[in-house]
Amino acid sequence: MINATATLFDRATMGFSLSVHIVLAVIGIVLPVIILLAEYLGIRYRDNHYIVLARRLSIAFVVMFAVGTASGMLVATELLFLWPQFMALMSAVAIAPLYLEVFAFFMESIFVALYIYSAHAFRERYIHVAIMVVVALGAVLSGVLITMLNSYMNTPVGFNIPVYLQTGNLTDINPIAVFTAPAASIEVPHVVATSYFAGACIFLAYFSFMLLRTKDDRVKQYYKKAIKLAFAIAAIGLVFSLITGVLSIESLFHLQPEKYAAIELNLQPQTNAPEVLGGIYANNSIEYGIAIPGLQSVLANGSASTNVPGLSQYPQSTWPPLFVHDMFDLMVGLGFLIGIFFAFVLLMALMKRNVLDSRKMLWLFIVVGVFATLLLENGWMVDEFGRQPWIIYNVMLVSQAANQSSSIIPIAVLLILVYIFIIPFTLYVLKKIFERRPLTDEL
Amino acid sequence: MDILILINQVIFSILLSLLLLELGSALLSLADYEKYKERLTSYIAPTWEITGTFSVFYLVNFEATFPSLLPAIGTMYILPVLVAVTFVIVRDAFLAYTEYIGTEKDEKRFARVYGISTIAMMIIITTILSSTISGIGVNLSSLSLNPLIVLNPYNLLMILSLLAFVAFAAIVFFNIEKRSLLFISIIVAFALILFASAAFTPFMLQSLATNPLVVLPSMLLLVAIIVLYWLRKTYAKFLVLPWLFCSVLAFQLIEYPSLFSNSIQISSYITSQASAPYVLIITLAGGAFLAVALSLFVYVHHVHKEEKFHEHEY
Repeated sequence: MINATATLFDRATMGFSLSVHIVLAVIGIVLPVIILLAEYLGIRYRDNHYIVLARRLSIAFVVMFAVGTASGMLVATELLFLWPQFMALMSAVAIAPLYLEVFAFFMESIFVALYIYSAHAFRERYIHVAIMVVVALGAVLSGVLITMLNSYMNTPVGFNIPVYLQTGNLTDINPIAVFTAPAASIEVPHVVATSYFAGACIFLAYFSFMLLRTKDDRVKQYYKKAIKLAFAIAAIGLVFSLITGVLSIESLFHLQPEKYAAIELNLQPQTNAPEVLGGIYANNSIEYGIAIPGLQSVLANGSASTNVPGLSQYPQSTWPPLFVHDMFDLMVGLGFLIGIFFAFVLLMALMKRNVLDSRKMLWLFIVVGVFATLLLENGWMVDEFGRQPWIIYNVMLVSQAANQSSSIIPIAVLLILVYIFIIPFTLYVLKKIFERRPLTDEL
Repeated sequence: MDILILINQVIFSILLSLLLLELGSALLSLADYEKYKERLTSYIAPTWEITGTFSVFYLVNFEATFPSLLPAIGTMYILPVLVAVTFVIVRDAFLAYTEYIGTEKDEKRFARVYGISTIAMMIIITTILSSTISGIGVNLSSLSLNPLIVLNPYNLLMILSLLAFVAFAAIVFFNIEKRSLLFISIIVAFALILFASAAFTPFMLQSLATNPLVVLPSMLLLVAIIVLYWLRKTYAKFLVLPWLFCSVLAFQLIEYPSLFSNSIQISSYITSQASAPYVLIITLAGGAFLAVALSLFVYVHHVHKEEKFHEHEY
C-alpha cells in the first residue's frame, strides 16, 4: 500500500514539476530569439522601440531564467531521486545527452551573464546581438538533448534488452546509440517547432494584453512592433509544428504501434481504418465517436489499404490510459483552429487591414496564447501517458523505477506549495519592476 | 585512483568552493546588507547562475560515473536533497528579484530571504556530506535515514567548522574589516574539524597520516593568503577560491575511497568499461569549452567596467 502511494506521489511530484517547467522552458527557448531579433532590428533600423523591447525583455529574461534554471535543476534532481532505478539504467547506457545538456546549460548561463554585463564592452554592437544568438542556441540545444532522452524512453536502443530483461545484467552497451534512438528523428524537430510556437504565443498574448491596456500612442506603437515580432516567430513555429505533427503520426505508426493504437483508439488491427474523432472506450467498444472512413490508414502510411495496429495485439495490462485519444484529438483540433486563425490574420495583413487596431483581434491573440499553452501541456501529456505503464518502453515499468520511500509525501506537498507561491510571486515582482521603469520614460 | 573518480572529485571541489563563497555572501547579506551590498553584488550577481549550473554538472557527472550507486543514494537521500533544491529555487528567485526590484526596502527584504535560503541549503548539503563520511543516521541495509543524520555531534561539529572556514574566506574575499577574526576563525575551523575527525572518523586521520602531502597545497595557499592580507595587499582575495578548492579536494582525497565510514568502497561502483571512455571524452571536451567560456566571461567582466544592458545607452 505504501509502495503504491509512494509511486503515486512520485508521479504527481514529477508531473507537477514538469508541467511547470515546460512552460518556463519554452519561455527560455523563445525569449532569447525575441530579444536578439529586437536588438538586431533596433540597431539595423535605428529604431529605439526595438532596443527598448530588447532591454526590457532582457530583465524579464534574467528573472524568468533564474526561476527556470532552478526549476530545471529540480527536474534533473527529481529524475534521480524519484526514479533511482530508472536513472541507474539510463546513466549506465544513455547518459550522454543529459551530460551534454549540462554544457548547453553552461553555454546559456555564461553567455546570459555576458550579455547582461557586457553591453558596453563591444564597439561593434552586433557582437552583443551575437552573444544572445549563443544564448538562444544553448537554450534550444538543451531542449534538443532532453528530447533525445525522451525519445530513448519511447524507443530504447544501445544494449541487449532481452538479456537485461532475463537477467538484469547490462550487456553489449553502446553509450552513443542514444543519439540514434528511432523516435528522435521526428520527436526532436516537433518539440523544437512547438516550443517556438507556444513560447511565442505566450508573448503574443502578453503584448496584446498590454496593447489593450494602453492609451499612449508611442506605447501602442511599441507593443504593435512587439506583437508583429512574436506573431512572426509563432507563425513559423506553427507551420513546422503542423508538418512535424503529421509526420509524428506516421512515426508513431511505424515505431510505437501500441501508443499509436491507443491514440487512435483502435481496438483491432484493420485496413481502411477510419479516423475516429472523439469517443470513449466503454463496454469493450468505442462509443460516441465520429468516424471518417479510411482516413486513418491514409494518414498513417499514405494508403487506405494500410493495416493499422490495434490494442488487441497487446496484453491489456500494458495498454496506455485510453483518454490519450481524446487528449490527442483536442491537441489536433486546437492546433488546426489556431492554424486557421493565423492564416486569417496573414490574409488580413496581405489585404493591408490593420489587424492590431481591432480590440477583438487582440482578445483573440490572448485566447491563442492560452490555447497554445494548453496545447503544449496536452502534447507533453499525450506523449507521457501514451507510454504508460512503461517508463522505458518494454524495458522498465514506472512502478519498478519509482522511489518507494514514504519520504516523498511531505516533499511532494512542499514542492507544490513552493511552486504555487514562486510562480505568481515572480510575475508580481516582474510587474513591480516594470512599474518602476515606466515605458514612457524609455521610449 | 581511477581518472573518472578524480575528475568527479575535482568537479565536486570546485562546486563546494563556489557554494562556500556564496554561503559567506549569504551570511554577510544577513549581517549588514547595505554596508556590504556593493562588494557582494559585484561577485554574486554575475556568478550565481554559473554556481547553480555547476551543481547540475556535478549531479550528472556523479550519475555518469557511479550509475550502480544511484538506487541507494536516490532512495536514501530523497528527503534532504529535494528540500535543499527547494531552497535553491527560493535562492535563485530572490537573488534575481533583489537585483532588479529597484527599491531599497524591497531589495533588503529580498536579500534577507536569499541569505536565509542559501544558509538553509548549505546546512542541508553539509548534513548530507557529513553523513556520507561518518555514516551516522544512515541505514544502508534498509536504505533509509533517521533523525540522527542531523542531530549528531559529528554533523554539528562539521557545520560549525564549515561556518568558521567560510568566515575566514569571506573576510578575505569580500575584504571585511574584521582582521581580529581572521586568525580566530581559521584556528577554530581546524580545531573543530580535527576534533570531529578524531572522535568520529579516525580512519580519516589514519589516511592523512599515510599521505600527509595531500594537504600541502592548501596549507601553502593558506599561509600566502594570511601574509598577503596582513600586508594589506588586495591580491589575497584571488587566492581564496584556489585555497578553498585545494582544501576541499584534499579532504576528499583523505576520505577516498570510502563512504559511510568505510562501509562502501566507491571505486567498486564505477561505470562500465564501455561507458567510461565516453564519460571521459564528454567531461574533457565539455570542461575545455567551459574553461574557454569562463575565461571570456572573466575577461569581459573584469577588464571592462561592468554595466548592465538595461542601464546602457546606445
